[in-house]
Amino acid sequence: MPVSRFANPGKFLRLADRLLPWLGTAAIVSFAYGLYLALYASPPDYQQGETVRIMYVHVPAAWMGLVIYVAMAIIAGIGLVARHALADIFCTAAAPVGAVLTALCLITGSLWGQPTWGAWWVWDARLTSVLILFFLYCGYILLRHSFDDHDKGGKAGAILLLVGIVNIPIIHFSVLWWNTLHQPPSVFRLTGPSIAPGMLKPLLAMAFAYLLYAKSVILLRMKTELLARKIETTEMLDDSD
Amino acid sequence: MKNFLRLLRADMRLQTRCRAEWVALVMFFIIVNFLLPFAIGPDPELLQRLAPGLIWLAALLMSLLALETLFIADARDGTLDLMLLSPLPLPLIVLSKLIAQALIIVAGLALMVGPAALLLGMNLALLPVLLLSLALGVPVLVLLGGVAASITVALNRNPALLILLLIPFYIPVLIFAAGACEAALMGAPVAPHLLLLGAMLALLLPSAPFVIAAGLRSAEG
Amino acid sequence: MLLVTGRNGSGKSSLLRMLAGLLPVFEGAIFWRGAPIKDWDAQRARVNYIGHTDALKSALSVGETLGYWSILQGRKEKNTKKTLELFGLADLRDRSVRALSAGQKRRLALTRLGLSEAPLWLFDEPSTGLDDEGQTQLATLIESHRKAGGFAVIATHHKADFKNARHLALDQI
Repeated sequence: MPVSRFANPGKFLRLADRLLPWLGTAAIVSFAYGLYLALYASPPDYQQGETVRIMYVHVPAAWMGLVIYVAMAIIAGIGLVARHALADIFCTAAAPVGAVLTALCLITGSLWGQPTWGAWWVWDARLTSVLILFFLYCGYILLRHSFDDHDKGGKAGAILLLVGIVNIPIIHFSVLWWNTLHQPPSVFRLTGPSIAPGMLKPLLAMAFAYLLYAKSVILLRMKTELLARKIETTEMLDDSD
Repeated sequence: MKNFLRLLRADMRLQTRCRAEWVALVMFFIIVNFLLPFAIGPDPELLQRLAPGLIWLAALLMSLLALETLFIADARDGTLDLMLLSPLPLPLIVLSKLIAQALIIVAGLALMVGPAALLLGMNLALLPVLLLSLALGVPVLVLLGGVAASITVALNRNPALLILLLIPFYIPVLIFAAGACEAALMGAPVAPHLLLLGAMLALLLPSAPFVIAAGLRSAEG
Repeated sequence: MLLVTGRNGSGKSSLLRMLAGLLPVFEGAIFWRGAPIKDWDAQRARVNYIGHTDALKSALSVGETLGYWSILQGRKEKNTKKTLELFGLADLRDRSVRALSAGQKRRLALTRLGLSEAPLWLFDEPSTGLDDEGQTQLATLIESHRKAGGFAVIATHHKADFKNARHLALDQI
């Protein structure tokens, strides 16, 4: 068990401590702005009325869920090749955040679908892809937590993420294919054919807010994970005396 | 190359001999197809519509259960050590096991699909497409299953984890394979679906053994 | 011949697996004939490792098992009769592994030693489940291996079974 890797995580912890307050505040501020735009300063949809506002929570959550997974896969890949210990810390910290955002997307999608289409769940191409992404997250989290040994777990998780990232475009394409084959194309689309300009700005603002939120939470979780592992290794060393 | 063929023959022998496990899988396949009419009623039109998808689902579940006999058994009895110590390239050893398992499953399905189709009243003209989709799709399932098995081999046997890991990866295979059968049913072109399945196989066949070998080596820590 | 002893969990198995090239070395280095090992594939080729599981498949017969092991070592099925005689299993060649006793299974696992000319033999608890006859056979085999210039490292709780050996006690380090 290579103790040396975590013997001096000081640099990262210090950096995290400096960044966190700024990121946190920035996240809160941009959420405030984003929500203001989403709930007040944007037009209601001419078809769906006010319920379209759920889109401002639903869509950026989906984006963020995907972005986090891609980031995890890239960093895990780098970690495998360069053997950098922080890569696994990032992935373990980020996975639940991604999973929660994906779940948020699913729940808000469900809440949106009910008044719009009268069903709590529709096998819409995007919702279905997000559901599959949710399974990818759960699989990763369960896999990672089944390992006591962080090295083995990290490697196994990295392999899973790398295979997963290759699979994501395949999933996206196949679900779209499946959807268009089995249903008329126009019926189950939760956004209109194009997004009205007044809606783009709040969407982007919320997306940015989500990004900052994710960054701060992940950074915080990385810090706690690092410290937790440090305690673990100290305990292990104490035991073996 | 000669080594590979010898290994393949030995692995096929190993696979065909474990009779008890295969009986269980066959029974599972039969039960799934046999119990469906009791669950949803014997309406022949409904059953006919569902038949190809259901048969594929049963085949998928069979492949999942068969993964037990892939590296997990080897890890438990110590043969995995011999594989890791072998002068033969580990991806080659892995490939042999994967091909042996895929061949046996496909052969078994080829025998069982006919009776299952009759039970469910499936249009027999669909059989060639169904069999072809199985011949392409099951190896993909086995290759993907091998990757999942290799990264969980160090953990205590947990079939639930394996299934959860594989669901997102199995879904596209199911979509294309069942899509091929649907297309045949409706008289639409079957080739695109089968070509996509073939592409997945072509992508996985050269790469999965190396990923699996890496997974098996990393299981040691 | 080196005997490695220690409590359960003291690292005997891990040490053996590192010597075999199965477990990566985190710190320090392992030397073979004075030179640090860099090429682990070469190291694995020098080693005959008998772990504490038997690596047997119940679906095969005794002879087929040896054949399978030979194939895994990249060679044709060898003269199984001579190898089986090392541990008195020659007349069990066609018996299914499932029908063997525990002692016979352990002896079968040990016959792997006769399948290759690797100079370094590594044993993880070889005496577990081994009957007295098997124990003598093993000791004789290791003796002739040493005379031929080979080396054996044995992790064991049964120190008395192996004579003329150097001793490494892991719980006293």
